[in-house]
Amino acid sequence: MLEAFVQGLLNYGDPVALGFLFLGTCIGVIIGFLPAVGGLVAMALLLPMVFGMDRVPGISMLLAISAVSSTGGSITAILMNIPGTGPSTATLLDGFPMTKKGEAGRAFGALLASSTSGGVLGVFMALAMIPIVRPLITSFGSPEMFFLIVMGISFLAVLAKGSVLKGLISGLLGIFIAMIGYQDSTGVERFSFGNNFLYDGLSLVPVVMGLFACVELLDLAVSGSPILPTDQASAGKALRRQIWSGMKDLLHHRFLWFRSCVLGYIIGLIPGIGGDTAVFVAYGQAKQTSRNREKFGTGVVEGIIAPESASNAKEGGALLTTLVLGIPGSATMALLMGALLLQDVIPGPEMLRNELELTFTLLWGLALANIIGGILCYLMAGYLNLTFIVTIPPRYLVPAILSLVFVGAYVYDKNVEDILVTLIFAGLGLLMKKFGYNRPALLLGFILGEFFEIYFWLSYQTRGPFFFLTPGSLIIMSVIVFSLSVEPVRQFIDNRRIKRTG
Amino acid sequence: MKSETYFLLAILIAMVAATVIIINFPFWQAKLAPLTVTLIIVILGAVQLKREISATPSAVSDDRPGEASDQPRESPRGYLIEGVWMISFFAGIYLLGLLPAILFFGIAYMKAHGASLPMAVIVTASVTCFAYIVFSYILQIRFYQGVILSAFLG
Repeated sequence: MLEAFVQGLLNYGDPVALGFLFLGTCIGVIIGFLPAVGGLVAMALLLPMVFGMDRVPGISMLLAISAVSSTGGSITAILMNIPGTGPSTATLLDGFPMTKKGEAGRAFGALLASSTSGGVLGVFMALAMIPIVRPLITSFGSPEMFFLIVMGISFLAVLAKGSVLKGLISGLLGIFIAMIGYQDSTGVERFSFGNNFLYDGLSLVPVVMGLFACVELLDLAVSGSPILPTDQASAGKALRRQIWSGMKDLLHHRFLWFRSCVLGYIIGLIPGIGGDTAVFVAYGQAKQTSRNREKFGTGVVEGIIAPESASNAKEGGALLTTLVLGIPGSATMALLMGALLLQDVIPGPEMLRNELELTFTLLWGLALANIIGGILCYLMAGYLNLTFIVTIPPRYLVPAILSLVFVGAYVYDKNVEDILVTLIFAGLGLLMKKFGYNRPALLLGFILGEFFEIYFWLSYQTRGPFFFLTPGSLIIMSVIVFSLSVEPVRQFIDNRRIKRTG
Repeated sequence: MKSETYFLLAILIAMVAATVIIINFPFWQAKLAPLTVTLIIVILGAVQLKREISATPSAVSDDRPGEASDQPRESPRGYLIEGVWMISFFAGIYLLGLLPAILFFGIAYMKAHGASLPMAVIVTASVTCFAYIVFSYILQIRFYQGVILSAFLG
């Protein structure tokens, strides 16, 4: 095993393998930055290339795209409150407020340090856990998966700004919207009203673009002022100093970073949950354990460190599950599995017997991609001065971004109706923002809605109406109840103290 | 009643209507999850509605400042105008196609909001070129051509 471990790293001494890993990293960062394109699209487009390549360069390139695209997506979340990828939604909760306070550089620094180090730690945890991963993963059944999804949504509802009830309503609305269209197993059409477009349900990209991008653009257009005045935006050396300051924040919050990485990694191990749950669970525990919990949502650096560490650490867990169990945890991992099959590599338990060196090679590739991605993002943020975007007047920024938003909404499924969906969700998102409802919770509910239904039905079918009585489910339910009750109990105690002293 | 209460009422009415529709689905598997979700929304929504209608400080003690609290109060008229621009952009896309609509909308919007014509043309042309190069040329995606152009091309 030690020989395979070392040889796995030495395989990147080959300039071709390292070159394609570097290329994949560059593509991943740039693609993540563009609205609506995403790592999945880039991987899908490059998948046919892998067929004619040697397996290490080809698969490493795809792996690198998947590893760093969420980092690129978090840059737009910080700068413009527009999540480039699903997991970036947690980053915008504190990232964009930091930009409005003139601390975009510090937010970038925290993002780069957390995502790079989180990704590397995730890989080392994967390497250490290879012998014990199977029993851990197989202990999670449908009830546990169902409650993990509920936990992710309820954490977001409780921990983001605004009313808890409104947050829960938003999350549940998202789940409901995800159920529009025909149901796979029964073929029943739900809420499509005979419309062919709605038969397949709504796509993620138009919903995200409408809920977040269009709403922010509307606010920007109505305000008439740039996100940040030019004299408050840092540039050049001042920006790079801010970025370094954000990186040093990681050292000050190293225990938070480690906890978030572990949480992200463990949730990444579980197939079907995905990064969105991991980042909000990490954000939730960061807020609950912070001394400044009331400041979360106003622009605190812990609100970036926790989700970004978890987001990249989860990739190590997801890759291990894909390779060792042959169960892809997400669409990007499913594509990666497709690439392995194209190369006559069958993911599963045999990977640890006959392809151990390749397993270690891919894990090392993931670590290297995170390091290269971090350096690239630092160069982009610090030397290309990306923060100038927030100083552009709305009369130029709004039509430019709106054009890309509409193009992005269209290209996903090549349906012009998707642009109409974007507009409808823009209206809904604006009303939600004005009336204190939780847009990230709705988005998370929408993303996880399909899995919510699948695991709900499986749990009910296999264990009956008392499926929640499994030990794992009871533990997760206790965490949910605890998180939902902490704030009301704290308020109750504070009110009593005020009454006693007043 | 405040506007947010009307919004909540609209959600509740929609969920009640959805519940009635769901009950008529043919299979239990198709009903279970959506029925559970709509019923929970109705229950939570009713509790929130009661709080908003009561509107005493203790009744809304759960309400922490949301996203709206740190936004300056803009008039609805501003949002209406910008919303009409967005809808017009979509109408332009539907009729003329994506790329021509980007050109027309971009220049018209920037001019209407006080930009000079040369800057409006430069910025819009740059965005159009970027969209064309990335999506059409590199990613090989065929842009929507619009009803009018499709009619011309047959």
